[in-house]
Amino acid sequence: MIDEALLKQVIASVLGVPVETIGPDASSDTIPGWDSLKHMNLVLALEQTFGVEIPDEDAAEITSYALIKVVLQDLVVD
Amino acid sequence: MFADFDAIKVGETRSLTRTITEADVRRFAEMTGDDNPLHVDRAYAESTSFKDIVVHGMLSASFISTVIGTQLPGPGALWVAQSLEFLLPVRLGDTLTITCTVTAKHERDRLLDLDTAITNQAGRLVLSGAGKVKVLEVRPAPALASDPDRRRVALVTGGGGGIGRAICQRLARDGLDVVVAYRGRADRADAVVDAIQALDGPARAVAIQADLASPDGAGALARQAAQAFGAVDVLINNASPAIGAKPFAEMAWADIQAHLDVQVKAAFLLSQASLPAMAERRFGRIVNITSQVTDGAPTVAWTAYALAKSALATMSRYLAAEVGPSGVTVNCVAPGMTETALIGDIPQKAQLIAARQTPMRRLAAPEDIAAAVAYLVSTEAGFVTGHTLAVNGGMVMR
Repeated sequence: MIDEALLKQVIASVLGVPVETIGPDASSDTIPGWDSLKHMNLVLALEQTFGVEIPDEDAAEITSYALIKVVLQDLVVD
Repeated sequence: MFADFDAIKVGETRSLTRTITEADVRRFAEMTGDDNPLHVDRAYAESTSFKDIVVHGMLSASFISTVIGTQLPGPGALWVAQSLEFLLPVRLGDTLTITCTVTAKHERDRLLDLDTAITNQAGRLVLSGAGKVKVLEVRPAPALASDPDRRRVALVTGGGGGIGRAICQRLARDGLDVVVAYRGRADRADAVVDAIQALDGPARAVAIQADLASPDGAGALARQAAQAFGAVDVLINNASPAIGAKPFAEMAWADIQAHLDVQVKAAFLLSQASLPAMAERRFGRIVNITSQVTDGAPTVAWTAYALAKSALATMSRYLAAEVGPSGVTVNCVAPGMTETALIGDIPQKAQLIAARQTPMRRLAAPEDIAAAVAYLVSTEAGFVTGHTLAVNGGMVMR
């Protein structure tokens, strides 16, 4: 299991939004500043924080909290 | 009047009588701008060789239009040619009899030749001529089902599954009797029937077991369905084996055959069994549940499933073209990834990504598919055929 509080913190800090705004339905649709540049930084921050390497084919797709969680969980378990 | 060109006979004649008043002449002058003093200024007219007001020739002639437009042939007439000879002047107060007589019919062009004549109260011919009139074809009102009181009967294959269940329940809510066809899970089919019977509506439901992959499965189902509630008006070919993803190298022809048997052959046999009664009532709806996979980028290893769906889509278009004249429509509904057991093998990550890639940001719900089916089987969709209605949230756009 990944530390969801930590995950929310990373996302919030990279995107520059209060951590309370990162709920289960958070996505690039709901957070205005979540653009392609911030997304690239977010993927790097996630890799550093959780010590994983997110495959290229997933990196571009993980534009929601739910997806990030699923992808990280798979990687952490592996 | 003659709505029917065939009913008009050569020699047919119609006439009307009309007395020409000063008011008629005044209105005609106002309307046309023809205020020639011969028609409107008595003193002037008296100074000419006519010695009195002469009615506009075209005012008299205009009543030929009245006969054509109201009597021979009547509504739907298009006056395309006319020759006129004004033989005698028409005077104020004259009572004219305007007569049209059919002198010839031209079937191919739906044209009538008319002899047109106007006589006055003394029986003297004041105008003669010949006209041509086209009898327009009138589009008939769309034929409705012959027996509006009879509840329509729907047969839904795979009726116990996720999409099938939603379709059965939706059609029942729309007032159709529903035959819920299932292969193995009687419990699920019975639950659908129970849910329909619990509705506060008139619709009836029955579950019928059928193995569509077996040689006589479809035939037996068609017979039993007809026995349940009468002839099937609405056929929903929804049954499909599990997707059974397999790399090409590992596939056997039997994998493809299994999909073809249930998705294509059963749809073929059930359509064939249902069409005669549909054609007899001049109402029928066949909806085949296909898939987004026939349109979008191929999903690797779904070859057998997609191949059968494509064949079903093609059969739908060809059948639509063939049975349209008998009042039967054939359409497809192509769902995107739908939240049912069929996608149970698809990893959650892939489902989430699919939802994220969809403009509507979610997967399809079975009710979305059922709503599309409900439209296509409705009376209102009677002019929609050979169509594939994509219900995929915009994931794949044509």
